[in-house]
Amino acid sequence: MLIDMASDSPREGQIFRTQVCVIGGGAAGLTITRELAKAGVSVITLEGGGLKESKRSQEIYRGENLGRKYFRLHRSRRRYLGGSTNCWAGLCAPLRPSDFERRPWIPHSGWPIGIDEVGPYYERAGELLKIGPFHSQLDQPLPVGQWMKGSGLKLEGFESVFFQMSPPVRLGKLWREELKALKEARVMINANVTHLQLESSAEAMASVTCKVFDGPQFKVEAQQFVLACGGIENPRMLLNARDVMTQGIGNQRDLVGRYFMEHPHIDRESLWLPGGATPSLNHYRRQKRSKKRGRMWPYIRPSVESLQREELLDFSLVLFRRKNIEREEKKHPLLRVVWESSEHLHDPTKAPKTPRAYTFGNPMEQAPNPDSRVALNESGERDELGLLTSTLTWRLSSLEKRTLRRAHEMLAESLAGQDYGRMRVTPTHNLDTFPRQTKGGYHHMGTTRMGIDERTGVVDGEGKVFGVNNLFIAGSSVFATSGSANPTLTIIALALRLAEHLKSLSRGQK
Amino acid sequence: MNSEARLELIDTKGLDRRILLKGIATFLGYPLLSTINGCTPSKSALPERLSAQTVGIEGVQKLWKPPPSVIELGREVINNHQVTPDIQALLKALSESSKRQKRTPVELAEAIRRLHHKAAKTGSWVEIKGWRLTTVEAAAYALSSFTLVN
Repeated sequence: MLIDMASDSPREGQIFRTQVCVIGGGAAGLTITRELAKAGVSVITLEGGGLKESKRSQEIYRGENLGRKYFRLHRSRRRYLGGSTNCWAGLCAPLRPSDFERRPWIPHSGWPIGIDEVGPYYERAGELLKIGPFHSQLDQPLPVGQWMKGSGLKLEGFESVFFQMSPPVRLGKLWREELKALKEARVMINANVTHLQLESSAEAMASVTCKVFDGPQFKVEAQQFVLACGGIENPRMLLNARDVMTQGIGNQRDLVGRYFMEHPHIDRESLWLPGGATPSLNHYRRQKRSKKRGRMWPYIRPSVESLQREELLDFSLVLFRRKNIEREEKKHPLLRVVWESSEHLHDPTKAPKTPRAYTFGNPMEQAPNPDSRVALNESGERDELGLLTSTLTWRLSSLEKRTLRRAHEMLAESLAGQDYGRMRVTPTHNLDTFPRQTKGGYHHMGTTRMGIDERTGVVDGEGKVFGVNNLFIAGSSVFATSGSANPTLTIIALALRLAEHLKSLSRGQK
Repeated sequence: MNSEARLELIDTKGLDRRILLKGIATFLGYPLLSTINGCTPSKSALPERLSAQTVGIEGVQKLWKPPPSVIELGREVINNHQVTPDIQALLKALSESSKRQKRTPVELAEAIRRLHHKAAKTGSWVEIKGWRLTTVEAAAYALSSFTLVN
């Protein structure tokens, strides 16, 4: 059922009891709620926002950026039922098997689990996100000629793959009626969590304290707790709970909030002028939705072997046609000269009169970096609920800079190797700076990362907080590394996996 | 690079210069060289001293007027990159390739193309205002623009 705590107000100090308490009604939280309730496990889900976006609720997310330029924190996610699925673009791709492995050239890389443990949940995650028939892309690149037009570019060291696209689904809206009908689920909206209460032994969670705006305070007691508030709020909640553990829950090694990762996007930098030998590029257009294959958006990514050889982070390249050549000429000197020269490399009689030009969308992996972090505001600034607000220090390292540069160089080399025209590689030579337009993808990851033990992570391979027996964390904050794929599909897959684990725990406790 | 240096580097090491010029032109993609006769009254594409030394080269050069864009790009290569070693390396590689690969301009162009692909694979690059050219392409463009920079 769905309970609006603002209108259906609880008594002051009322205590609700349940088997599992899920904190957060976004992609991970709602997935776990739905799975558990369907399996007969009683769940209370606490969502701070309502059914629609409100300024007051969004203000709770307000924080300060201390690192490189980033989006305003209260605008970079959504605080109402469905969370940031209310604003996502719908791009879905699984992480690669190599993303889970330790890569010696990437400090702090490696998950405590492998693709074998997450892979089986991807197909189901794809179903929930309505991406159409799932093609895992784990073992093989694009099924040439099967689902896509043409064969794409044959580039040495690269492979053509695709995002499968969700419509995109807004899970709060999509599952609202279903959640209302589920007897075992009590989804409480306008229920702002203000405190995570540990038992005095600090070995388990005892309860969660909630507050309704302009209303009463109440508690939820449960056998298991799941924190699923996103990559910035998860560490903020843990760090604010300092009554039993003075450094915050799960923070005995000062890891909570560290390793904040984004997918740095450096779009529309380099320019490519396809030459006469280039095959049709219709292949790389966003494909229309069909029942047979859903909707797809092809992109180019380096092969695992290339990444290993070059010792780079993962990255993707998406093609964007540039039609305003005059504008591009201002940005890219010699454009017309190079194009006209290139055209002579082939059949000048067939050369088009105006250059075809493409730039690239370039989302990439960020290396785990302990100095890139979410922390509590040292000035003591608090939100309306009395919690210390967050600060974000987003830092990129020399590895991202090198990857950015080499990604474009490698592509230029592969294009030239196939007589596919010329490319202007513009990401800076100067490794002290990133291009001005470097931005994130609204993906907040890594701040309560999975690790082998509490020295390397905040949660274990199941998502359980080290040292706290009944507290789990869901969402992209548990990612140990990020790959270059958008995170939502993996968030849902991990949530399904955690739900399975919680079901088995609940069966044992019944 | 001064003009004297440019003359020195055209040591074609046994290559037939006419075929070399035609081969470069064919590689760069203007097939008019081998198909059209006497279409341009251009002045010599190579430095005078070289022309004087080479029997028959005048005839080739009269037909060889690279498009302005090719000449401009060649000029950019010369102005922004120390291209002499690349030209020497290209000529050396061509002179060492098998005789069968350099009998005709088309064969020579293919040989240059293979070297170009090899340079792409091995990361042998020149960057001219951000544009990536293989060292082989850079050398070919530079050779094409000699008349204008003299």
